[in-house]
Amino acid sequence: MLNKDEYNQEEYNDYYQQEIRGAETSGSTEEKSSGKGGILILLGLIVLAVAGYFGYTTMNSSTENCTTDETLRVQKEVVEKPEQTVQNVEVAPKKAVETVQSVEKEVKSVKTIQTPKNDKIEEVANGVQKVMGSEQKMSPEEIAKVVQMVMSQMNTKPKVAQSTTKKEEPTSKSNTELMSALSGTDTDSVNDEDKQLEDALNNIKDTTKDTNIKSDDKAVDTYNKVKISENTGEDELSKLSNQISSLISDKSTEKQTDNSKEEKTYTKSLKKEVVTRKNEMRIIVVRKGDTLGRIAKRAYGNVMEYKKIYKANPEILKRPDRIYIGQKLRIPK
Amino acid sequence: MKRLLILPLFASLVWGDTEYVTVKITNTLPYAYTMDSGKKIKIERIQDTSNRLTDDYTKTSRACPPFCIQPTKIHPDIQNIAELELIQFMKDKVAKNKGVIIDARLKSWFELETIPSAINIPFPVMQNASKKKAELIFKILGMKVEKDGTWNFDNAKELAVFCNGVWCGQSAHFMKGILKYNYPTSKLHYYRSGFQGWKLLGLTTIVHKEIKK
Repeated sequence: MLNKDEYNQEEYNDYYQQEIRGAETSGSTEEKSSGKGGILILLGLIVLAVAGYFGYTTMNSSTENCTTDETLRVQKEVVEKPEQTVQNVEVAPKKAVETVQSVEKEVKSVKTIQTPKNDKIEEVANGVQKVMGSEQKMSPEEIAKVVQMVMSQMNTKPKVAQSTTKKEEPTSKSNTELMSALSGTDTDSVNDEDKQLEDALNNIKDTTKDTNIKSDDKAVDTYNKVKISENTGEDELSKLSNQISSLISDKSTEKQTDNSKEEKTYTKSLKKEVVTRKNEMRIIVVRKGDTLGRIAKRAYGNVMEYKKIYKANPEILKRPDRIYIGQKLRIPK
Repeated sequence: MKRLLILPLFASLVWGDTEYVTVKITNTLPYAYTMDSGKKIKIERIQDTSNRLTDDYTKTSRACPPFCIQPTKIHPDIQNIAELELIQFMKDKVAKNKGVIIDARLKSWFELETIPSAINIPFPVMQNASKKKAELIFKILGMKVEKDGTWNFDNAKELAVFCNGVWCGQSAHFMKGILKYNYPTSKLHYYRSGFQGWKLLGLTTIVHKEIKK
């Protein structure tokens, strides 16, 4: 222990200075070490951040690339398929003249080929990309727009079929000629008739909008029945039908003669038969919670009659325990 | 990922509209188009090859008389036609406003189900029509009244008449009524198989009034 009184000031100062230096040096080393640690942590964080950023961007770009590739592949496949079919069709006639059956197949395949579909596909694909490219997330309106676009494209099928490319015409023409030669009919007259019919159909002022046609398509049920609630057409046939209907409902011009007894009986019997027919046509729309048993109970008052309904709807019901809401089931009498 | 899922879906939708018809109308005619109530109707057959008529136009026996089997020819000069001729009639005559398909059944039958592009003139209307009413109907069908009052049927439409089928006499009654007023027999066609024949082939039908319960 140093005693200030026993030693001189210089010695004390030396010791004091040494102590201070020591303290300073030890303090600075501690500071330095803690500073280094901080820098390392910071560096680590920066490295992690940079790695994370690069990783994210790399992943993002790879996903984008992947999507683009997939898009291209899908488009390519869709675009290439018709061409392949066209090639097949072009090659096929050489081999297929042997039998009528093979020729018919070709004619069928030629009919089904729709090269203008490429444009259609591009249009739809562009539409999809356009909508998707605008935002990452598609809003319901956009989805609806895209679906509408696709649906409208699908609905224009007959027009597309009508405008088959000139490239295919020779093949189809030769096939038609061959077919007509076999069947003994004149090709040109057949083609002309078809064209005339198409023209006539196109010339009819079609007030039916696409939406109506869509609804018609939906209205066609399993049994090929098209439901039409009212005559809204402005074509000549619709006008004629409306004129006849209004004339029929006008009783003033009806002949005021007593029908014979035979005629009356006949009309009465026919009306009875209509009731039978109506019973044949009874339809039940499946509701929530319905089972065939419940429907049978409702229709016949007996659960076990479900077999009758099951047998009457073989096209709709594959299993008696599988019915779905909205299904229209025929209920026999 | 969303794009990956959506694009093939749309592509398949677009690609999928190239349909293959299993049950064609004829070897070379998969389907046909006609107009009804201002709408374009595709006439095709039911594509389900396991489909059969079950309790739908399958009744075999009705009291005769009045529901007796009709003779093959309704009139010596009236041409009989079948399904293919009727479809051809739609193409050649109806589409060009040169002909009309007449459903001669009662309105209640017509409303339940009928053939595409058919219009309804119930047989009692024609049978009981006065000369004035017949004139009005014929005018709608394209007949012209000359200055001297004679009826000129030169531009009158050709009519393809049908009813329920071979057991149904409604077409015969209609023809009787229309011939009474000298509608030219050359412009009349009788589809004897009628609606039952049409249904039996699974061809497209039009329902104006659906029965639901």
